[in-house]
Amino acid sequence: MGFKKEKYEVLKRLLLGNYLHEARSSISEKNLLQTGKVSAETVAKIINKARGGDYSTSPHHFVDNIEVHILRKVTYENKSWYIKWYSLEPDLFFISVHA
Amino acid sequence: MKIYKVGDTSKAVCYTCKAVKPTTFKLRDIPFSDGEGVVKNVIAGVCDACGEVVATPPQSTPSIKKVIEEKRKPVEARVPAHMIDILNCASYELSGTVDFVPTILKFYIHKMSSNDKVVSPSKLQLFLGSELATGKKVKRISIKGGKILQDINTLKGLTKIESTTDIIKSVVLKINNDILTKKNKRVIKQLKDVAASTL
Repeated sequence: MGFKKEKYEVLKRLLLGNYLHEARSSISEKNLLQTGKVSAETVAKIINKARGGDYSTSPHHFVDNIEVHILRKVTYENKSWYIKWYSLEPDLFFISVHA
Repeated sequence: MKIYKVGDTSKAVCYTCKAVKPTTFKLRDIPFSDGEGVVKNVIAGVCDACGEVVATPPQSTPSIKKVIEEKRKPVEARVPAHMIDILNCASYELSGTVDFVPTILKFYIHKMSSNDKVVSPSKLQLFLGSELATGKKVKRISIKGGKILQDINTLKGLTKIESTTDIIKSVVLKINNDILTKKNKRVIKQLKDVAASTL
């Protein structure tokens, strides 16, 4: 799937509240969406601003057939954002959301 | 928002098992990765194989946010001026600086909330009846830290002291008793070791 389709999918899930947060036995303050420091609406605005040049993918550390989607240095409200997520059907998991 | 119920099932990447595993949503206490504080009794995705928490749904975010906000809020009490002097003198005695005051307070509160034998909460309430417990409350003690509120609440249960201000006042007077009056060698050594390793 290209960036445009991935963007559509993650935005749809965000706005419907149909996603999960990855937890490695604990809650990381690197995921500001998980901790409530930023809202889903704000994250959607950040993702919406992102362009193809901000986007890359890499295989998940342990499960290399899972593609992790990464947005780097997306500028929103004078901050540079980093967002990481992946799909594991039927769910979508956020790993990181931080400036 | 998709709402998960206890007993719902899914799958997730488990970092302990290093694989995709079936999961069940259960109520769990989840610690923060910085080691400070725990979110108690929230719905989380739990790995069916190893029992570790592998996911949290957005419905648990308000509970997580509440604990983070409480972690950041300092615990405060208004106290008579001589209590600040007691803390400063104890700090100076142990470390040569007044910067050690917050650590001494947290050390005492944490030890007593764990029902420590050396720094015991057993007679804490008695200090509130002493002359030094009285005086106009003109100064403020402020203690920050992820576990401090939890420890103070535990200590309230152990000592039957109901107010946070009374807990802090009695702790200050216990510090006076141990460090400045009776010069309890075991406690002084423990605190000097902490000072040497942290300051």
